[in-house]
Amino acid sequence: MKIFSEILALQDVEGVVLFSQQGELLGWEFAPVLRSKMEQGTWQTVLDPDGVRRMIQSFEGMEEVELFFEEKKVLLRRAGTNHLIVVMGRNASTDMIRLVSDTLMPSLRKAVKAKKFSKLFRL
Amino acid sequence: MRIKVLIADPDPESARQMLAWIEEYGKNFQCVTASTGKAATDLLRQENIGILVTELIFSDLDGFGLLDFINTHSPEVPVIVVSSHGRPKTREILIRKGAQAFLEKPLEAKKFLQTFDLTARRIQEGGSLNGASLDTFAQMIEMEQKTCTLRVLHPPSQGYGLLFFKNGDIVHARMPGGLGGVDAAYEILAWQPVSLMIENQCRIQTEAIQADLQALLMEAMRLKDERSERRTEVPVAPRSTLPTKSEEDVHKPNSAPQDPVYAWLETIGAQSLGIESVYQDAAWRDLVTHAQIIGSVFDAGKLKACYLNAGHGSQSILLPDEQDTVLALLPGCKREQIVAVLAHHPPRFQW
Repeated sequence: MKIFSEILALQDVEGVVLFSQQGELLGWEFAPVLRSKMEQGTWQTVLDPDGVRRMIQSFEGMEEVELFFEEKKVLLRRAGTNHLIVVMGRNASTDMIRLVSDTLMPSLRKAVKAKKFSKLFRL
Repeated sequence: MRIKVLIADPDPESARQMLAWIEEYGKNFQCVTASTGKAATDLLRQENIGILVTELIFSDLDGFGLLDFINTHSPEVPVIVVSSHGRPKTREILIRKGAQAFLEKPLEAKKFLQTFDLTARRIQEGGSLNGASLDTFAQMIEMEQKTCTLRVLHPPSQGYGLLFFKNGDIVHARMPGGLGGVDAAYEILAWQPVSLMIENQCRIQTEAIQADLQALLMEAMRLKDERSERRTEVPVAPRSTLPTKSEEDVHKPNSAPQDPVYAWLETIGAQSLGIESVYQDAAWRDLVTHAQIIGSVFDAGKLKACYLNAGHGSQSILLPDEQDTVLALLPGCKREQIVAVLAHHPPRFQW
């Protein structure tokens, strides 16, 4: 909870999700603006390990990818062997998120125990 | 990165059949055909051929001759021989001359594609990368003392080249059209960003390069800088009645200036935003598809652009349009501004 809360505390950040290289969901946290929608939805079945592994493969070789959508931005960053996804509004500062997540990198890199870790972050 | 396949067969029906099978098999292959041995050797010299599928009998040059040509000029190109004239002794000679496989005509789609698939896998068994930084990658090969063949594509200029490494040393480089050795290495090592295909072996026998990789990289960058300086400092010459081709034209990437998106961006100051060039590259389709899935999961709306940072100054923006448009960015580019500018509907791009 503490690891993600620092990113989530930044202005206009709506969610943080961490995946392993193998596509396992390691942890997540959403701001109230996104939480109810995510709790109702089936996002974990869409982002299943197989799908996420393929997604990670398609981003291979990239340090980071920033996706610009009509309503939001999504930042994907490598954190050691893990991958961090940050969902944010269009006005969020990506540079600020980059700065904060850089300071958290050691913790994000160590996040390898999928089940135990995800329990820590379960809402 | 697409692999170009040369199908050399005097029988047009047979060539058409193999072309249809390969193109149906995967989008990553582009086929060219030749009906004579001479046409095949010309294409091998001029084009970036990745795989050769050849008949054994031609009116001007037989399959053995073609294999000898390959062994001398492009030993990295794997060859599949297809023929109805394959006696056991002939097959033995073909395999000894370096052919990857021999298939008896009439061909069966399943068997042909199995053999083709094995061959295509072999030339990228070490993996493939898009948007990579070539200087960093080459230095990694040197550090790890790897032996490999790198097939390099530079999407902004559609340039193609090969780099050969033995135990971490760069021993040869080649580009279609005859450029080889250090001159080809200078040209290729200055490309950025690139798509790479890595084969875990080096079949080249001649070691045309004796220089150190670091020295080659430095010289490649120096020559690149020199060219770009010359491009920006072209003096205003008095008008001539004769049309001339300037050095600027020679060195300009082919696709960028003609691209309608680039032309549109130029009118609003692409250089000041940090856009180096615009080109098309279908290799990113998977990434765009996954980006769209992420957008739908988080209810983010329609995808407008993807910014990619491969590190070491290699950055680009992909547009989710049907033409697979990619904007290569200069260091220090203003990506948020670029995305905002793109909201003003450049040509052929509908959001």
